[in-house]
Amino acid sequence: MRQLLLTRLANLAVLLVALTTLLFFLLRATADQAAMLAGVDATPEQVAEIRAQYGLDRPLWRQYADYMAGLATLDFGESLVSGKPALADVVERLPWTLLLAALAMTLTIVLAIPIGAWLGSAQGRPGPARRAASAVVFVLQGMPGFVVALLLIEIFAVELRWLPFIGNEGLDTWIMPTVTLASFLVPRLARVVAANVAGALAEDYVRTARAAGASAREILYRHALPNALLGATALVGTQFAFLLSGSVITESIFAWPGVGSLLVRATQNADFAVVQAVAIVIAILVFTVNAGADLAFKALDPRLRERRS
Amino acid sequence: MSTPDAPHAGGTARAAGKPVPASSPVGSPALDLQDLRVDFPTPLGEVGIVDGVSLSIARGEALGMVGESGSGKTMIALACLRMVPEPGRVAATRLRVADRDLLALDEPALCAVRGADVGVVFQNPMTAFNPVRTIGEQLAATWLRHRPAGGARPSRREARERAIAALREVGIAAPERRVDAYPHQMSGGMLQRALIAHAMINQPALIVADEPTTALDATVQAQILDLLRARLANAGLLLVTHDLGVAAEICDRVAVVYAGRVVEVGPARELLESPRHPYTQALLAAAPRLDPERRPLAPIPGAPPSPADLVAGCRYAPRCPRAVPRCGERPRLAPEGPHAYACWNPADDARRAKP
Amino acid sequence: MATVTPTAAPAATRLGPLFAGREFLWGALAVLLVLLVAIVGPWLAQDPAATTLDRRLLPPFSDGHWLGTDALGRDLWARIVTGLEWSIAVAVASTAIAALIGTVLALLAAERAGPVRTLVLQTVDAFLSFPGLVVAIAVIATVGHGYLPLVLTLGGLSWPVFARVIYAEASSLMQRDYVLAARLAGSSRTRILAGHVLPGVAPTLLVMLAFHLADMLVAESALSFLGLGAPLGEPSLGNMLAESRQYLYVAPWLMFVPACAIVLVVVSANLLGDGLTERLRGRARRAP
Repeated sequence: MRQLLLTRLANLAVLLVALTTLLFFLLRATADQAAMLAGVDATPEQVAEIRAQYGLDRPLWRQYADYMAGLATLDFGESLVSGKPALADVVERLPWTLLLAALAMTLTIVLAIPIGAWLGSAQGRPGPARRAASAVVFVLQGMPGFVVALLLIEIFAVELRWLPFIGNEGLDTWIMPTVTLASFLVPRLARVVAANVAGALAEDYVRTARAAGASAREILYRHALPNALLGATALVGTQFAFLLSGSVITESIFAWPGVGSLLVRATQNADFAVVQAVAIVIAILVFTVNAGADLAFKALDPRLRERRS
Repeated sequence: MSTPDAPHAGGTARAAGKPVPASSPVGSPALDLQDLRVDFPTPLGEVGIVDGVSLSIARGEALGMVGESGSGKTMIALACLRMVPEPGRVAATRLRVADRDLLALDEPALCAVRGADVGVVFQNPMTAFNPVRTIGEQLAATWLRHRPAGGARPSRREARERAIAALREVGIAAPERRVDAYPHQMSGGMLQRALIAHAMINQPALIVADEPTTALDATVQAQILDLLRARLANAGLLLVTHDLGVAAEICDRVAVVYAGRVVEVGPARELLESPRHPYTQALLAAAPRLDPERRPLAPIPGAPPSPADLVAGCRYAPRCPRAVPRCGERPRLAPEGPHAYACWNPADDARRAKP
Repeated sequence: MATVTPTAAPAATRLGPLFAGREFLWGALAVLLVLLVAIVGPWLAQDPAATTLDRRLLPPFSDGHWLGTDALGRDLWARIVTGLEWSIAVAVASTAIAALIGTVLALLAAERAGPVRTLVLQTVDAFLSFPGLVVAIAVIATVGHGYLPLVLTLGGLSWPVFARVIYAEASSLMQRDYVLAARLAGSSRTRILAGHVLPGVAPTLLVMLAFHLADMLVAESALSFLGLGAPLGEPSLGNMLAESRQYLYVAPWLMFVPACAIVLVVVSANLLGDGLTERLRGRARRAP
């Protein structure tokens, strides 16, 4: 168990160092920051002054060392837009991102597990209803989140005028962002659950249970579904990463005041301190969720629980 | 295998002390099968995987069903539970387990029969239990499932006690501890004992064992077979196996199945000593034995037919050394009596020829 | 334990019955058609940049513009086909880069245990548990817009997808007897990798290419939609969708047309991927 957490931590460290180093050198290689900070009509003298002021005239390795030291103390610099420390900007918006993720995750679980269980229990002989449903799931999976969002807006905000366009005030503004973000995960999770349920139903222990008089219901709820969901727990990590990608798009479209929309705005404004702070906060978030999922998986599966002692 | 206290463990052949089936069994037969058919639709039309099988097993009697893989023997076993997989269809003039007409029952009623009137022991004990539930939970669930509705619902504690008792009865040491074990914590032999306990926990009238020892070590096989035989009491046993020796060792009667039909059936010893159907003879000749004579093994020429290209008449005829023109007609099991065979040109009675 | 590789479509939700097992055929046809439109279309269509201010926001099936016109009176069909050309060019190039890097690193890692393997596997794990779009945006924030930065970013960040699957496949191939035999016979590392392992992983690679193409198209559109991909004014599918948002009330077709185009391409590629998987699985089953 400790071994696993250490591996995860090592992963996180590798990722953070690689990411920040990459960003640092890409930035220095592709843009003259001093010129950008000084503005388009600055004189060469003004640019040189700014270069000295921000320490951009020092050797590259010194700059890199300072930069990494700053990161190690979570000092990313100040946001060009708000003038506040970049990390503060990010942390302030984090709850909104987490709220949206939690709402979407709940909706995903409520939708995807029953749909997946139903599709997966066809035992290789799907009827017309199941075939139609798998076709819908298949098309939905090919539908990018921003397309889903635009369709929702067109239907529910423009045509029917039931829901407000954008924003985060009031529960009715939460509906479309939640549905959009859930649309990223529902088809994927439904397909995974369906495959796992179908796999579990083909297992010998299901035949044993059936031969001992278990009804189809009992087999689905007590054997196939729990085992299928246990298998799906292993995928929480990649799914969560996917969810966060989705929240960048969703938050931007609906002007949701979360970390994702902050990232896009900061990128458009060349606000590098904030971009980096977002990337690192998200890396830490991903690490936490993955480690939690690992722990849960280990605790739920007796075959893995065994090896702990 | 750590079960020194297993009843009748030791694996000695029990041919001598084999209980003779009561000539007039008390109560209804455990299994009564008349003209069973299992058909599967294929692009070329219906294919009869099982074609007119009639069998009956008395209470306390063990019947061995022997055949090659693909002979339909497992389908026959599954039909006894009405568990033939889709899109297979079961038909019979009679399909009764403990006097219940399985053909007349709907799915909920069948669920009530399965596990209560019929218990099943499947081939691979390593995968037969759900890996994320304890053995005790799975035994208790099967016991609780078949408690009559209406009466006081038994407590979990009571179910657990039942599970422990069932494990003890099949010779598992320290059942109070094993009841909380997960399948991966037990050996194959012990799991097969637990599976037998699972099949017997509701004292069914019929036990179906489908190749119960194939996946086990040779040393454990004999223990498991002895256990099955010993725990039989008043139940009937249908033992499905590809091994004629195994069937003869613990069964009272043996039925030999070829391509979905019973080709010979009779008392185990008689069948072994005096096989009349050429296929039974060939099976015996192909089986390795600890014989002082050490005759070479004789493989059966050809391969078992696939269900799609069966010949009319006797299905063994294309491979049969004793085939005669009349084999184009379908032979019926004859003569009336305990030992019957479906052959137009049966081998001589070895016991009469060699007095 | 049930594990799901990213390439294998769950049997329970495959569309086999719907297409009578001809997913591959339909998927391949659809993808070919899309490619044809993307390559030939721009030559035949009108100038996508030509503005006609008296013919603005025409609905589909208008005279001379069968898909209508946008807010500047530009022909929508011309913009869709040039947008497809751009989006597919990005998707194809970045898929090629990702496949190349991923396959080479996976084969090197599978060949023997050592620091290379450790490093590759660690990097793959780290990348795959991280939201790709966030990294892509962070990199693009740094290096800027345009075709080449976009392709390099998407390709350079998505290779771990290939590396993970190909590594798993290749290392199981390395255990096969015929590879062992080749090794004992003194074949060189490159010979074994190129002659035995690469052909073995080729089918999987093919399937992954189809799915990855779809993923890259979506990623490109998403970035362009956020204003971080194609340069402004470039008729990429993402840009068109972003522009359409202002006209949802008056000209919803500006949104529907590119949206349908994206979904069509992605579903076709997914269909092709599923069909390929099914074909190859069938072949594996027949093989002894």
